[in-house]
Amino acid sequence: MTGRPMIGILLALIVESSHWTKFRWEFNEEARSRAWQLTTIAIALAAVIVFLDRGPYVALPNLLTWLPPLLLPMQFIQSFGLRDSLPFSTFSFLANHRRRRNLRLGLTEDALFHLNFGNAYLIATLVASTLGSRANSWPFLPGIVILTGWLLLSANRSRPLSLILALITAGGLAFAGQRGIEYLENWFGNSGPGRSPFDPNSVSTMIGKPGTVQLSPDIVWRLRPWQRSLPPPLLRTATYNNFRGSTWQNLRVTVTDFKDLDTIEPVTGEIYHLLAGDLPADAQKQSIRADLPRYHLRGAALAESPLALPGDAASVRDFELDGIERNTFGTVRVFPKRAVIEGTVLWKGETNPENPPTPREDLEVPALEKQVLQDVLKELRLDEQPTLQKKLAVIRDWFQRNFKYSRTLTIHSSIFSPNSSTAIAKFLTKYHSGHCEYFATSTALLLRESGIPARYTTGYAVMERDSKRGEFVIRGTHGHAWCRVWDSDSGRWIDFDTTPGSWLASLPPQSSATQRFNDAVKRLREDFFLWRNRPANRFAVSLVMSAIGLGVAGFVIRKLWKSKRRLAAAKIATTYQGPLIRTPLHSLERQAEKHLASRAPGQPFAAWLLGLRPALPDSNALDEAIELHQRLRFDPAPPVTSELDRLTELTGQLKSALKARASRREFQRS
Amino acid sequence: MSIPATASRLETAVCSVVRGQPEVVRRVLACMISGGHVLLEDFPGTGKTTLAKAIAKSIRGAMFKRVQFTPDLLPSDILGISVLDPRTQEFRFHPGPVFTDILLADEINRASPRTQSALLEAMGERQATIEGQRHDLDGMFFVIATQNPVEFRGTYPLPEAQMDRFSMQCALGYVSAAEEAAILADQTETHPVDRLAPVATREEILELMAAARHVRFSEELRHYVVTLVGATRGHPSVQLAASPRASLALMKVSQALAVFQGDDFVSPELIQSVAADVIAHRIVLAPEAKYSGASARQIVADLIEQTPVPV
Repeated sequence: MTGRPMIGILLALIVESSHWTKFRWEFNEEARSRAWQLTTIAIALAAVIVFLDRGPYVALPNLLTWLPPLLLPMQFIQSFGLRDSLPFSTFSFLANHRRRRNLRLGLTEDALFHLNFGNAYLIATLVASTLGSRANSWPFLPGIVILTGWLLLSANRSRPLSLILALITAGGLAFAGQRGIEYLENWFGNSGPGRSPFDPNSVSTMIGKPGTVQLSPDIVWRLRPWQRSLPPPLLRTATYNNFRGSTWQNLRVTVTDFKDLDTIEPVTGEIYHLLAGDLPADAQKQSIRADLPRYHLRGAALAESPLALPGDAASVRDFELDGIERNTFGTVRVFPKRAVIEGTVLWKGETNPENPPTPREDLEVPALEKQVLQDVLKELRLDEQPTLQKKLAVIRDWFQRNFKYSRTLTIHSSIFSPNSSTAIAKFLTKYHSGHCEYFATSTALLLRESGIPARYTTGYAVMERDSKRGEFVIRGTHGHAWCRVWDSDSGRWIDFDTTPGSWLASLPPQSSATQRFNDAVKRLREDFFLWRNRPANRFAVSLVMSAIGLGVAGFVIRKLWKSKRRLAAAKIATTYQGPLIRTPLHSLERQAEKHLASRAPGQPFAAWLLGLRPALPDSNALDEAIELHQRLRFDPAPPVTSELDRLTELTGQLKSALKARASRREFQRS
Repeated sequence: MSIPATASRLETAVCSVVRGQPEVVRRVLACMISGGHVLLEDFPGTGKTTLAKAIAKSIRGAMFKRVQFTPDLLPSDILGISVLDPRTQEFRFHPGPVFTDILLADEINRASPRTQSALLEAMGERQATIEGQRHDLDGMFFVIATQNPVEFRGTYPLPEAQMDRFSMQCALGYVSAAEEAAILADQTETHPVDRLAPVATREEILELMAAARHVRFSEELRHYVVTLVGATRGHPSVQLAASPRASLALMKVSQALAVFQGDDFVSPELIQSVAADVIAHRIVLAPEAKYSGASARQIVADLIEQTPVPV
């Protein structure tokens, strides 16, 4: 709850006000089970909503954060009821059933297990606060340790030193654990929950690593073309310009920082984000032309998630975003307002989102590959082709004819023997088989070697049509890689994909029942989320929800108001303020606790100590000690010194007898 | 004779007649020593009358009167009446059964409230005002009233004010089979009450009463008594809570019990042992608590358990 102080303060006021108000209720079994039902229903509803909102991975922590308000009905019964603890049958359907049956059969209620719900609520509050959004700030950990310590110390005064020690240890462990988690998060490059792990400046490929390409078949985006037009074949998520080892990255470029997209608002309320930067007014108008083809995109997004856009995307609109930015390579990332976003993308524009090539980077070829590439180029005789289009056709043709697509990779890059050829060389000269990363990388390097600027691009192929819904589905398995090639004639970058078309057919079928179920859940989740958050519906939804909430709350408050009861002043009776007498026998309490059940507040000390009789070889000493204790303690007559001495002596005897018994028991156990 | 010896002789004597009930006997005797009155609520035939008679017979010189309460019983039947003496032409006061040491008010709830109230003044203030004339009652005046908890037809439940006048309400209850067989054996030829010889004089009882008043009671325990009795006020199941008279009675009965125990001070255990007897009958339960099966004794027992006791 650390992120929502108002709710936290309100809850604390409700729960703690029981200490200074005199209203109480006598909740019977029925009221208790009603409250528990209300709590479970609220938790279930909240679980569904949180799941629909956030997806399974963040749903649990999110739900736990909301536990304190959800558990409030039970805590209310605990705080404002007249019982100190709630019977176990309140919480368990089976136990409750058995209780009813017992009552029906005329047996007495077996309330063996009682639970003080306050303890459970305390744990829920602690868990919720540690999962809250402010839990990572530095005062949180010391604060919570001090608060817990204060609570424990006020509840158990007898052993403050060991408690403080335990708290310091726990605090230290918690600190170390937090640091460890932070370290791990940094290590794995995950910048925390709610943030996309996507790195726009580096992607490691499987080039040179044998194995099978495994991708998630879950739906990533759904795409609905405008008026039954065709969708773009390829959607880019990121572009990179430097190949090293098996990694494509963005290095040594002048500007890699992301910049906000330009926006124009031709009609009030219609905001277009322009993909290309610094356009003249005329070109800006061109980017939002009404006759541009467009499609509708819908999917889940986190902060810094890349937006899947075609290479010639012109502008986007209708996305509910806190920000949208692109880098000089045309990689666009978003900061969504909500977990699911949707909007319209206009494409086939006349401008590029990315900047023109920088010759040094976009023509760079790793030295190791140079020889092979030159050999291939010699065979292809690209120089003879007059135009870029022809050159590209030759390359595509060569790959189509001689190469095979395969998701099972066998090429091993032997990094330990620098003399042997690289993975790309092996692919081009020997194996002739690989997956899209091989094709895209080889093509980009070939083009660069022949003097044409080229970049490596990752994204998705739009290929699965859901004819029932008239939309295209983009899954993790549709992930693809291709090239962006600089067309110097038109001054634009164009997509160039040399992967044989057979790769589309080689994808595993998506017809398993689990996959269909997952798809349906995902669709439902996203559609419901968007429906709920649409401005037109948001008001109605919040109205209905608040009406239901207020109705339930009003009903409960009315019922409670009617059945409330005032706690009279007597309950807060004055306690005895006079001097307390302690006798030597009091020092026996700690040791006696190990042999006896703990003393109820109303059980007299002497009667409680009598329970020690079976534990002692000779109970006469105990009887005599108790008698002396009673006299010294409760007789207002002045004490007799000899009696005090005698009691000290007897207490010593009792202590040693108990100690001897304890060690004997220890011995028997071992 | 020492004080504890008198107490223990008295206890032994009564216990020899009322078998199997040593605790109740001790508490009833303590009630008498404390100057209070006791209400025995129990089933017919459990020995209520025998107990009263046994106490009376063990005290030499103690007067014992018994009134069987019936619906047509009048106040004057209890307090007494002035009758015109034809010879002297003067009204002569004929004292009623209330002028005695030990009064057994049998089935007290069968008399009309008016008659029940006639006992109020006598029990509370040890005096009777008859026709404007105040008559002091004896220093040892002790009322043992009985009522039947089962039969309600034709009864008048005691008013709260009357209930409050009783220091304690006890129940004898059934004894074990062995004890019951012993009772049969006792009564084969004669009733043991008839064989009972007095073991203490009336003066000794008055001395016991004085001794009980001098049993020491610590300040802290006084607070405990007040807290315990005060806890009934504001208890959600209680409509009419216990009065300060309850605190007073609890203190006095505990002091008297200490005499029987041979102690010259009161310990918290003593207070707890009689608290239910002293407090419970003064409480009127809230209707919803009554119909949900709560009992006053149970509530007092819970309060004893919850109220922190001085250790």
